[in-house]
Amino acid sequence: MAGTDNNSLDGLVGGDYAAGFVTDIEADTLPPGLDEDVVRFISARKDEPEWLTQWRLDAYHGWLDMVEPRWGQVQFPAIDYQSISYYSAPSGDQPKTLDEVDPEILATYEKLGIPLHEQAALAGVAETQQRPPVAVDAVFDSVSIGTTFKETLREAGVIFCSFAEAVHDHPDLVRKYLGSVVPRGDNFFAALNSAVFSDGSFVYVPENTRCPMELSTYFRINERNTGQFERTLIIAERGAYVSYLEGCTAPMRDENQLHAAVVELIALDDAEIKYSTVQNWYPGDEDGRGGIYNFVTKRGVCRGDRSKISWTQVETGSAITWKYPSVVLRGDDSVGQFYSVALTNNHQQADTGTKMVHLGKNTRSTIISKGISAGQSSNAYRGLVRMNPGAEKARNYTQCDSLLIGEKCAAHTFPYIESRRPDGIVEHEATTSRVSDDQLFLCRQRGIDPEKAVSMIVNGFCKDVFRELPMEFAVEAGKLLEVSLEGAVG
Amino acid sequence: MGLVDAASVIESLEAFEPRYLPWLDRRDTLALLKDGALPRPNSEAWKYTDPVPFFDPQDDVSDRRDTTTIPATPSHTVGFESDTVRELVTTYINQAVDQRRYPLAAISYLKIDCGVVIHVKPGDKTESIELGELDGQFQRVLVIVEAEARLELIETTTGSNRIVECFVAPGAKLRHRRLQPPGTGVDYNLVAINIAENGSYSLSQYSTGARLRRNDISVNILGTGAEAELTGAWQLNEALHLDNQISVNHMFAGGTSRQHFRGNVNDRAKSIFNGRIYIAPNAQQTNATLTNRNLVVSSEAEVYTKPELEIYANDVVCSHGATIGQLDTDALFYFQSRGIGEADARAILIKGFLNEVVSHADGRTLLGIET
Amino acid sequence: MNLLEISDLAVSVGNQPILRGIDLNVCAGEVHAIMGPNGSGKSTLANVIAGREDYQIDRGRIALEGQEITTLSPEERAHRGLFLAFQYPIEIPGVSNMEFLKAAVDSQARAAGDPEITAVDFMQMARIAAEQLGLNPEFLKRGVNEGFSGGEKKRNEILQMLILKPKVSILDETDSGLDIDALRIVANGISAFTNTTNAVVLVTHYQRLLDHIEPDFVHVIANGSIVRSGDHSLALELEEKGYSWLEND
Repeated sequence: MAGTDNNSLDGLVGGDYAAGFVTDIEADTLPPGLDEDVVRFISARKDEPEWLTQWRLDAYHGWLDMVEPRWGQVQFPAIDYQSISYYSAPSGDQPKTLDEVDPEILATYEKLGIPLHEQAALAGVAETQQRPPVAVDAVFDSVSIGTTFKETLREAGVIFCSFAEAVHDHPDLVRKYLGSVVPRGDNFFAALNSAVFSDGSFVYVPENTRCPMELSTYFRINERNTGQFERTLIIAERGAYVSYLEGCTAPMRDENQLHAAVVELIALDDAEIKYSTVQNWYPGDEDGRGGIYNFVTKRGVCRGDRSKISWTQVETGSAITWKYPSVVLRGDDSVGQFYSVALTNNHQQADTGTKMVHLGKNTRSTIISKGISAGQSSNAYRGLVRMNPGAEKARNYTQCDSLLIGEKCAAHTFPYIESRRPDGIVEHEATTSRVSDDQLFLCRQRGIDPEKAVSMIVNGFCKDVFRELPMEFAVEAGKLLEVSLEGAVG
Repeated sequence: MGLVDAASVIESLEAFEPRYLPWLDRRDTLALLKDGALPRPNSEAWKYTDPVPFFDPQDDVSDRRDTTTIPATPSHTVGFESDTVRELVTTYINQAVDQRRYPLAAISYLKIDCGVVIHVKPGDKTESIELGELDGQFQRVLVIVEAEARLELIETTTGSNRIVECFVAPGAKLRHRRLQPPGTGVDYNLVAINIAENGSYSLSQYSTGARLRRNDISVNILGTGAEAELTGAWQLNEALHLDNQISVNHMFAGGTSRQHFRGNVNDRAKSIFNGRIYIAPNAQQTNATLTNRNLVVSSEAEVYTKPELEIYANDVVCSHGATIGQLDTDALFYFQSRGIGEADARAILIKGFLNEVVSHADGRTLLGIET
Repeated sequence: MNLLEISDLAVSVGNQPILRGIDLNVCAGEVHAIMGPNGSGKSTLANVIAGREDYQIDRGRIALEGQEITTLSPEERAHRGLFLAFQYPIEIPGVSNMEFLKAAVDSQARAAGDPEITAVDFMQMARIAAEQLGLNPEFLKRGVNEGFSGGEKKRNEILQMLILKPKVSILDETDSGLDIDALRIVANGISAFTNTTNAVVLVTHYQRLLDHIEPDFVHVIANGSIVRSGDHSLALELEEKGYSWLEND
């Protein structure tokens, strides 16, 4: 008796967004609007060298001639780019150490569960042994308010600092690599970011160095009517290894806020970069009011032979997610990976996936995408696998699965596969399924309540991706799914 | 890709004076084309094939005619111009074609110069009908299989532009075998099928390419128990080009569709495949699958494939898969170890690969294609 | 004492009556067998007792330890000690058997106000149960019924029963899909589980399981009613004559 009636699955919606509070602090915020002066202001405020100011202005002029992309399977009203404030930072001088940071801001991160005190983090280690410390760069609206474990990292030769600091302290590296993976004119949002980016993280891991701890950046939007435009640049020299985590939250507000970031990764010979994201921007309310527009360009280039770049993302937040973390496999024998869980509920929309561009010989890529749609949401996987003529014996494997919860949601799969190699192998599979009444009944018959049952089933569905996350992130991701699904089943 | 000059296309269509079927109402179609149905820059439907040659208003006025000639007219088949089928034509034409989505079909409708109706009455279990060459630049075939009727249609397409519209009524069955020999020019084909409840349509298509060939297939599942099975195989040699764009639209609950397409691409040939499964809201209990497998043999060949799912209902079972690969080297070695030379072994394996979906041998004999 | 008491239970799906007034009393320490031809309503009875929502209860009552349960959710019935071994065990990809069972055991403990069992104790308990059913402990790490053979799925149902220790277990066609050896292992597992405080209801089409577990009572359902009740000899008689002689009564 496989029931087709789905009433039992409707109605568990409206979970609490725990990160939805506002921090009440004084902020210096630019009035809304965008022109050359705004670009110059941001650059001047950060005391940037002339070349960078010019770089931003070129990007700005290029952007003026571009149009907003509308090919995604997402719908949103026209964005008024003149109504957004492009810079907001806590008032006063930039704190030099974490001790100088406004206690309200420190409390914010504490509330979000982000350890900003090295002592506290270290004490945590002693207690549980299994939790290695994580170095954190905390970005609050447009600025980085502090980075932990800098000294420890410096001893290992690893540079981990805010982007603004990197511009001052490591100008040659920034100049060499900025825009080398995502050019200024790459796309509309990347161009906008290149013009107005405010802060972000910079990571440099020298030759044959294994970064001694996980690095992470925690992005927080706090101010009203602002956009967040951060820029992250990670360079792994020959034989280097780094694992980097990124988390994001924002207060609950009725209006939409724009987040347009650019992330560039560069891996040289034998280097490996593992980049994990748990994206939990405010998703809007049950009726689709408010929430973040998350329009992000992330790309890595495996420049060296045998290099490896791996993207893992858990996307549960944002009103709209539009991002395709990609890998350009230039070096021979290089490896690209993309593991993704994207969950949409209520009126959320996601159009996300990856691009794997095979240029080098024996390059390999793996794509595992798990999309979960609940409520009236829309969830699309969009991907590109391209085997260029030089990509001798390149291989790709792609698995895209969708899980549908509720009768009004939508799930889409748009994989582009292009091959110009006679010896390349590309395999793509996609399936859709739903949380079946049978599965739910089995769990309930064994005494498990429906909410727990659904979250267990969804977590099981995502297992192949969670496995790729660092341990504590995997636990957090599982909990996040549970919260995001609240109300999706009844 | 080139840009279609919409203004000049519209201009030539407005200036066009039909000799064939002057009584057809063409106004809506023209309006729709003027309203932006022509491909725009970066059109997704023309990502890998240049649309310009397809929309080139190459109109040979001297060749226009007012009657359809069918070399050997099969049973149940009548030209559009006959008064006996006028009502059928006006009732059915464009009912299965989404002209906004298929602007070339819209243009073909405006400039139609050859049309036949194949009509199988309710309950009629007709044997197979073989539709050979038709003489016209813009051909239209209406296939109407009424309730509980049966038909096997064997069709050979010729170059130029042919739109086949099939209507499968409740409980009816249409088996459609289609052969596409190589062409030298630019040709466009659309098969558009409407399937009513418990109707069943199966396509088995064997294709080669042309200088530029576009095959659009559009299936509308319109009732519970409706079934579509689409299979196709193609072999492309030299510089042939084949662009297959398939959309199976589940508009109603309880339908089934299965698609399996395979291609073998050699030399400098270019193969494009886009297979979309669309499931409308409320089209629950749908079962839909799609497989596309490609065998690439040459370093200059190009293969593009995109299986798509667009799903708006949750109680469905859908899957798709696509692969691009080569012949199994173990199998090749096995053949060679039994004394079969590599070239022969390859030929046999390729034939087997295509044979699994569409009878390659049939296709080959009928088309006279060399492997 | 009556553990399970069903009186005048009538059930339909859509407007189609499936059960037409079933009476059944199951006391602690008893093993009942419910037999009948395909489509007689055996599985419906099992599912309705467990609280499946696809059925309409037209009249009658189902009581567990004297308390009416027809309005309770499936999980509430489970918490009170009702267990259904599914005829077609469901797959839950990616969720390990261990994780699933722990969630079930924890839910029951919470409902009973008992402390949750520690992971170590739980593992120990699960391992013992698995060994008892001839299952490699590795089996516990695999996804729930994911890629299991038919026999493994059925054994997994019994494994869950052994761990959850229900008061009333309804085993729906647990013998189907088992080879001779697996049947014996499963039957031994069930026999070892039964005691004077619990009860087992075997729903089966064939009598072969009953060679291993002797039932105290045998009931035959045909066309939605219990048409005959008796002891084990009734099952043997059915084996010999088939069901048609009952339906023609």
